[in-house]
Amino acid sequence: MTDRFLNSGDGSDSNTGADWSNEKLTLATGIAAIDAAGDRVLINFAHTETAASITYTFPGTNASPNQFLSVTPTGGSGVSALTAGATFTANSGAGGMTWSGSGYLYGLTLTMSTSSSAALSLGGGDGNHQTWEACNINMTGGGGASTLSVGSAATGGGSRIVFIGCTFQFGATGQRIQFASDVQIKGGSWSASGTLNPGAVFIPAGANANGRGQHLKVDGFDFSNLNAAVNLMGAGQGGALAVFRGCKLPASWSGEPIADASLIAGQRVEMYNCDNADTNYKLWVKEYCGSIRDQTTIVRTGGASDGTTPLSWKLASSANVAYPAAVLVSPEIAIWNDTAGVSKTVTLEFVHDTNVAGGQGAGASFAFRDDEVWLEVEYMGNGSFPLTSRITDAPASVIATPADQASSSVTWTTTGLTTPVKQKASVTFTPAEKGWFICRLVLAKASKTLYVCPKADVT
Amino acid sequence: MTTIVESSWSAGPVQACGRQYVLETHVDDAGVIYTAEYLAGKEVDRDAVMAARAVEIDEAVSARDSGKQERGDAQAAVDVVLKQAVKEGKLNPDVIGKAGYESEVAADVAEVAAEAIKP
Repeated sequence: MTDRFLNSGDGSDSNTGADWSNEKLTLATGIAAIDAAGDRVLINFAHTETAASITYTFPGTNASPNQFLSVTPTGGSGVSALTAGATFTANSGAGGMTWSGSGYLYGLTLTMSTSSSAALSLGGGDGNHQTWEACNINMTGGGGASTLSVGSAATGGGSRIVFIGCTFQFGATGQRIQFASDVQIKGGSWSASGTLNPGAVFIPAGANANGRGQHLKVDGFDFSNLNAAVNLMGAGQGGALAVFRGCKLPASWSGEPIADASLIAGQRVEMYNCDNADTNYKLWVKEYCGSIRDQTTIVRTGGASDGTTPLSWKLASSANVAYPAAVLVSPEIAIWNDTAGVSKTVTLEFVHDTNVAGGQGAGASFAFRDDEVWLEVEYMGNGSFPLTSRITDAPASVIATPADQASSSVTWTTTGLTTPVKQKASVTFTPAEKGWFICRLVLAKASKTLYVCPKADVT
Repeated sequence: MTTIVESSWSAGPVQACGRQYVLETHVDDAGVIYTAEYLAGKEVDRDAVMAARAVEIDEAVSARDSGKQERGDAQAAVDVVLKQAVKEGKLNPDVIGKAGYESEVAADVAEVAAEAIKP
């Protein structure tokens, strides 16, 4: 590993780049001419580098990544502190800005100010691993179709791009963060500057990704500077999964995880504990087959709670649900089982309003049948291997005669429901070993709504 | 072009946090229903949110339909090139769909497709 030194203040690309007295002037030309895999590039935090477009393919590999650190210099070749501030700007033309290679980048401000619909591309190389920390990623130009393109969508390729404590900014409502392969955002916030009302923030990689699945995970990110109507996800290729956890949303947020018109088969956006108020139980999952949301009004007495606030999950299936092929599946409910060899019954309680157009289920008095709603549980059914068993209370097969799910006598608060019908789904089995019960409620009838208590009863 | 012709909203019971789930329903001129749900406090102007979303849905659906048209145009152009390539013996019809065609044909396909989807 060799240290390289960069400073626009008094550097020159004819220098050796070997210390602070011989700094290079530019990254894209000076450093690019001498860098090698594993090198550490120390950048004076006052460094500014501007060009029509910037394309920098650094030589770092997964085995030997580069480091690019914005620092306060000291002595001949020392560093007194990591200091964010080094700036790279692409200001015209359609070339945009590209950083590919594997490496760790600290404290850089990337600004693409071109008015063309260019891309700011990070980690687009096949196999890239990049971690960006304390960086500002700014798209300030007016290019309506510009994307912050993150990750590799190459055929047969892959990448993992991570942002830690970074800020992001758009310059036009049509701009998006387009994610490919695996992208993770940990902490950070949306800038208070720039365009705050994009139609959506993220989209899965488009045509170049050939429809293969993309993963986005966003934890602890502050979206509150954005306008209330913003959707988190826009239209894109199928197979994408996006998970938002512990994020702060804009005040009076009226957007959605993803709009109905943007949903296609295989897409799912999950939001856990994301809100603009002081709550800790929020849940919103939206996908092609429907949505699942928290509820704190229609709740079971003695049922699920965050410790203070009773809650339930509202499952609303879309018109795309069709038994048995396409169904809406709740998030998993995990329960530790500490006894083996003893018969267990797991039950999920649910309630629904039959006073709606067309009723609800096809059973007696619009009760749901077991081919419309069922419980599935995975448990440790094998005494020799961690091979789980799966049991459901759905009909034995698609040609079996369905039966009504059992009615229930537990107490629910049913404010807003005209004709509440209480039912339960349960399965009985004998686990062979201690382990987790993984429970899910399945809604298999199109355009129906029910409320399930996510506190599973185990007896 | 698709247009939203009817929009309405209804609010559910007040939640523990004091807000209500507001369910919007939008219907376009083909009878397709779009719904949107959000959690609103009393301060939120629900009519204004609904009106803004109707515009947004119009734009999104129009963009989607436009994209379908572009892809249709591109596909038609690609079909012409492929048929011509088969006719000229540059392409073995047995390997269409198996990534087996000549690079020269692939280049033609890409060029024609790009031309066809130009704005």
